[in-house]
Amino acid sequence: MKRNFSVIFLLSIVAQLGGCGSNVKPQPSAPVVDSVIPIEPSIVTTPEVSSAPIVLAPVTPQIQTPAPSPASNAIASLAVQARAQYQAKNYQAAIAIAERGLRIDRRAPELYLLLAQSYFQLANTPLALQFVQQGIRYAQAGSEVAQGLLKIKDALPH
Amino acid sequence: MTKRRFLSRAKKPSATGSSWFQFINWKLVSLWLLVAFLIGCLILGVWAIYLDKVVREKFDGKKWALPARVYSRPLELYEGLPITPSLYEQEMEALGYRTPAAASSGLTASGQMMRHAASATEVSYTVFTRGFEFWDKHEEAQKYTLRIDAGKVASLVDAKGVALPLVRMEPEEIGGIYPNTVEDRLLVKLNGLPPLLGETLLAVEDKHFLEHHGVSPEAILRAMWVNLREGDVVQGGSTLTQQLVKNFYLTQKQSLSRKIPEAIMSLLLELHYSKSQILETYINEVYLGQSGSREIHGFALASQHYFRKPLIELNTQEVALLVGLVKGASYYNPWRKPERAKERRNVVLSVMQIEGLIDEKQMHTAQASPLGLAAETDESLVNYPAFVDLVKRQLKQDYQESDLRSEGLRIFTTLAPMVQRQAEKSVLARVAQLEKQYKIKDLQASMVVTSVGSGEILALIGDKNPRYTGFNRALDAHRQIGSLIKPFVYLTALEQPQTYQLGMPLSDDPVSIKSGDGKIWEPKNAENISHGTVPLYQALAHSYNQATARLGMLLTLKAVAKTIKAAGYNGDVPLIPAMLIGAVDMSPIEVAGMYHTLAAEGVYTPLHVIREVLNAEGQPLKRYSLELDQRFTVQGTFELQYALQAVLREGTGRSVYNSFPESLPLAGKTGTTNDQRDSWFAGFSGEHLAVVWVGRDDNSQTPLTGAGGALQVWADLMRQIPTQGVNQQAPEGMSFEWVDSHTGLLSAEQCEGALWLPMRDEQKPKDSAECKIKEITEEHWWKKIFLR
Repeated sequence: MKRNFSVIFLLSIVAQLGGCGSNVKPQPSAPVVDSVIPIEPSIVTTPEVSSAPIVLAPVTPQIQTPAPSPASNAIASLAVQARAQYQAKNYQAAIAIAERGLRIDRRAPELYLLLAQSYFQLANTPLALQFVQQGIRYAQAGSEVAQGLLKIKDALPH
Repeated sequence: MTKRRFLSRAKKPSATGSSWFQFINWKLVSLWLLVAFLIGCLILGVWAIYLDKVVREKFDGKKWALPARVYSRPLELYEGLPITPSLYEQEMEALGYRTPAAASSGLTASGQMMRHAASATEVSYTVFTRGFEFWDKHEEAQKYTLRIDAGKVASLVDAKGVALPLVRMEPEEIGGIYPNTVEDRLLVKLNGLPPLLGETLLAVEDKHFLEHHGVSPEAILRAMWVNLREGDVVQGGSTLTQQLVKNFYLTQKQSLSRKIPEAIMSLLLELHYSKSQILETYINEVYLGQSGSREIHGFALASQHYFRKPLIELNTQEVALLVGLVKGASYYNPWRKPERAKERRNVVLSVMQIEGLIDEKQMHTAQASPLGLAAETDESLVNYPAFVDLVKRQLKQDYQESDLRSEGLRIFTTLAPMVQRQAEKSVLARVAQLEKQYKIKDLQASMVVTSVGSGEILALIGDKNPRYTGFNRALDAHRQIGSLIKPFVYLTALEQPQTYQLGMPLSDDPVSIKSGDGKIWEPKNAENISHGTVPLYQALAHSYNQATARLGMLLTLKAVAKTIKAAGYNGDVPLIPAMLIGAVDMSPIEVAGMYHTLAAEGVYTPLHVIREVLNAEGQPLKRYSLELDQRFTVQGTFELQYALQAVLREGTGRSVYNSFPESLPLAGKTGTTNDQRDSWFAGFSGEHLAVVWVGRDDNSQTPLTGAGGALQVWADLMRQIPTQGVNQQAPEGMSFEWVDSHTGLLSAEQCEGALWLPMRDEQKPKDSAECKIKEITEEHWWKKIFLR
């Protein structure tokens, strides 16, 4: 750990040499005199920095990947039921089951796909688009679900 | 002689005339009698026709005005569900699940459950569910075994040990929308009765029901003889049909004038309808108790009222008690007069034995058993009045009041009883503690709890006494929200990433603003201290008024108002500078609507309390579907959530921070208005949002800040409900960077004043600040969450 820190420390010095250029950032201005007139932020100089300038590279902690949903069996079961209803053209029933699943896990992309597809079939374009957008947020890029969502997005009128 | 003749002559005509008159009189009388008889017959006939019409019209038509029944959400069980044994048991108890009398024989009927404790944290339950007609399908009764370990469902299997993905329990009935008569009943068909009930009822109330035609002369004569002998009315001769006629069509008044139509109508009823139709109507009509102003009619509702379980699950002694109550539900009230009720029940059990319905051993066992009553329910018409009030208001947008009160609609709501119960406990206990601590008496409180994402309201409290049915503060108390408004000022800024970011320096120096009418407004910080230049997110975390007013004015009042509206507020936002620090009146539910958008990562969803409505026959009438609209960027709301987490970690909400596990990131904002008239807190986890208001109805000063009052109630609730933390994964296009708190430039963990903040990719400064190495004393809180 200590060794790693030293390596990062040295590398950061090398990497950041010359990185102490002009430190200028926008900052809000002094008090406003009229409540309805917007005032642009003015430019202010940064405060004095410390006397011993040593610059370090940003260190990003290792972030763990999120664990799969603890309710994955329940979600999978509901997704199967909703899919069956969708395929039987019972779109309202498919929506009801998918919503039931989202109450358990609101980040389940397959359920957003089912909702988007069902609303697409019901010609409810705004809702179909909303569910596409939410689904894309939670779907793994390149996955079958993500592709399905993108397909609906393409099919929706722009 | 002549005279005699004359007399005789004179007498003769006289005698002849008299008999003539007598004859005429008799004829006339007879005629009159005949006419009177005919008129009487006619009147009787007309009356009978009228009574026949009355009998048939009511019997063929809608017999009763049925209240709408309001249900909670069903508890969904699945592996991984966060739940504690205590919360699960409370839920099952509310649903009326019982341990079977003979535990060794296992679960023999629906509505039974057994607990098997393995350790302090690990408990298993075997359960025999009841079937239930849901919106989408009928859930069959089934047996399952559930194991809860370490605060979540560890396994869920069926009777054969096969894993079940999901079990949906039946919902709790939480109230009704009643007809003006306040008669309440649950309809049941004869084939839905426990086998003993019908036979016991007939054995006790009308042994010859299947033989007579509505009226039993023998029974009437026997009753008359007994009553004459006793000198008082001690026995009735009414058949079950007559009792039904009396209850269903006539008044309760005991008089001869009522007895005649009662007899005629009984005969007519028997003429038109079968015995089974009459018996079924009787079983649903009979009065069996009272709960406050609510009248308990019919055996099915009486079963729920006294034993909190469906009729079909009643055992022998419970059937006997209900049949015994027919004689006088008030006189034999088993809660108030348990000995009297037990005596009556045992008489019924004796009759059952004499009639051969049970054997002697069964009778003795049943007679020795306790009454087995559930705890007496609160006398209010609904369990959760504030919540049901909101349900009614939302229903009135789609249904007529008369339909709600009479059509027997079944309303499936979003109420989560386990959350509601914990919310009630938190409000009750904390408000009492605050009143005691500050030696004040008239504090009031309200609370709204929602699920994050679905917009479903899980719990609602409109008064510090959660059973109070009057003024609903959660919906109708519009009070200034103070600093609860501030996140919307900062969100307005964070939605302009080219200009604003969490680490940018913001001045908290004194500010004076001249309003349109020339007045100068000079907001002050809570302790009249200015904090110089602070990072933007800290200005929010510490709720600095001066910095916020300055920022808001830069953004413009219009832009901030637009954000408030986009977050879901439908009222007017006054375009005055004081609005920026909370001079806006809102109700707790309005605040919850806006904060839900923040909790749901910028997605607006209208808050709602109803999922589905079914008619009395179980046919779906309406579903209330999930609606959503992405109103703010995911990145902007992620940054704001970070700042709101800082409120609890290092800002105004830190007083409760230590009472939560490190692994549970929570976010929220305190709010205090001038002179501490209102104490607010709005906060959320990844699953639950709760908004709390504490104050006085007369808007007078309190000793409470947002942190000292509402935050404490909120924390009490969040400690009790299993929940998941706020999302920590930076969305696409964002990452965490070390930022210098003075300059907003890049920095590093070991540098003094370095902050680890989420930044959009396009926001990242190219330059780095100079760094003075600091001694690292404690790991940053955000890192602790990630690296746990």
